[in-house]
Amino acid sequence: MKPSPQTDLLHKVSFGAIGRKKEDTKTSYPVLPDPNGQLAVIATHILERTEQVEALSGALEIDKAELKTLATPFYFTQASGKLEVASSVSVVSAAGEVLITFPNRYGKLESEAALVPIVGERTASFFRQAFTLEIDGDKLPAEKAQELLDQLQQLFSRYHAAEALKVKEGIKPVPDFHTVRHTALSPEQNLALNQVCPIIAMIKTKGRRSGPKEGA
Amino acid sequence: MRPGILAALTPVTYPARPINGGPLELAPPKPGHWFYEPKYNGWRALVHAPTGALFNRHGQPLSIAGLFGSALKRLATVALVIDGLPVAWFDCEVLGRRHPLGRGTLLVFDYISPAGSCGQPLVRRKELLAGALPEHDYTQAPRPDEVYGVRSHNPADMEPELLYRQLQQLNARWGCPFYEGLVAKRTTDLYPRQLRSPDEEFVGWVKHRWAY
Repeated sequence: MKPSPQTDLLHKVSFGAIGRKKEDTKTSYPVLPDPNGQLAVIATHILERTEQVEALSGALEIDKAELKTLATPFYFTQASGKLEVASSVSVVSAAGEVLITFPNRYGKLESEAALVPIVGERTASFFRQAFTLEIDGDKLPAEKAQELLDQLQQLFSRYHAAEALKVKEGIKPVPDFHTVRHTALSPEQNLALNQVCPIIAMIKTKGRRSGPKEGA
Repeated sequence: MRPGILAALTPVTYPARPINGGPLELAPPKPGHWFYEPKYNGWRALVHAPTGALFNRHGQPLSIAGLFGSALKRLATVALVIDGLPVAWFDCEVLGRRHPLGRGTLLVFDYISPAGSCGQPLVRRKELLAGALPEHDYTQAPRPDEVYGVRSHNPADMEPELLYRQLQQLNARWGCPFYEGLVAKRTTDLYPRQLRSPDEEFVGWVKHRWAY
C-alpha cells in the first residue's frame, strides 16, 4: 500500500511491529455465539435484576437504619434503672415481627473528646484505651502493658525494625458498660452517648415472620 | 504547601461513603427527610483549607493536588465559624481531567465540625455552607479554578426524578459525563466522622447512579 501524500510531507517514521497505545483501554473478549438470542435475553435479565437488587438492597438498609433510629430512645427509656435489660425491642406488623437487637457491640472512637461533655469525669469509668499491635492488646495484663510495649519497641529498634511495628488504637467502652449504663446514666445521657459511640444494633427477622395463626 | 506540613497532617475523618441505592427510577421511597444533590464526576477529596492539603477517600495525599492551587487559595479565605471555632476541613469533589468542564475547581458539599464544637445536622450544615460559598448552579458548567458550594434540593421543591433526568440531559448537551447521578442525604444526620475504615459506608447518604 502506498503512503498518502500527506504522510510523505510529514516524513513520519514507521514503528513496524511495535505495538501502538490503544485509544480505548476497555479490553475486548471473544464473544460467545448466540444464534437464537437466548444468551442475550439472560444477560439482559442479569443486568436488569442486578439494578433491581441494588435498589432494593439500598432501600432495605435505609429502612433498617430508620427503625434503629426510631427504636433507640425507647430502648434507653424502658431499660433505665434496670440491671437486667431485654436485648431487643420488638416491632409488630401485619407481616410479622421485627426485632431491633442492641448487643454489647460498639465501634472504636478516635478519642475521648466527644465523650467528656456527656459523662464528664466518669469517662474513665466507662471507656478505656484499646489497641491492636499485631497482638491483641485486650489480652495484655493492664498493669504490665506499658512496660511490655516499651520493651517490644526497644527489641524492634535493636534490630533496626521499628518501622515494622504498626499500632491501631482507639477508645472503646469497658466490658460492663453495656450493662451498667442503664443504672449509671439517664436515658438522655445514653442517647447522647449513642450519637458519638453507637451500639451496633441489628435487625432480626428470621423465624419471626409468621403472622397470627388461624383461629388463634 | 511544604512537604513537611503534609507529612505531619492527617485527616480527621474518612470522607463519608454513601451506600449504593441503585438507579433512582427503581428505588423505593425513603423514610424520613432527605435532600438530593448532583453526583459530580470527579475525585473525592477531604481538604484542609488552612494548609491547602488534599486527601483522597483512603486518607492518602491526593496525587493531583497541584491542579487546584487557585481554588485552594480561595478556599483558605472562606470564613466559616462554628461555636466560635473556624472550620478547617471540607468534604469536596475536585474536578481534574475526567472531562473538560471546570478543571481545577473544588465543589464543596460538606464540612467537618471543628473539634470542641457541637455537630450540626445536614440541613444546618448546608445553610451555613450556602452563606459562606457561592453555590454551583447545576444547569451551568462550572468555571475552571473556582470554589463552589453544592446545593441540596428539597424534594418538596423539586422532584428528585426530574433533577435526575435534567442532569442526564445536561450531560448529553455538554457532550461529557459531568454528572453521574444523584446522592440522597438524610437531613437530620450529623456528619459521620470516623477513622475506622475508608470502606465503612454511611446509610444516611445514598448514591443513585445511572452508569456503571
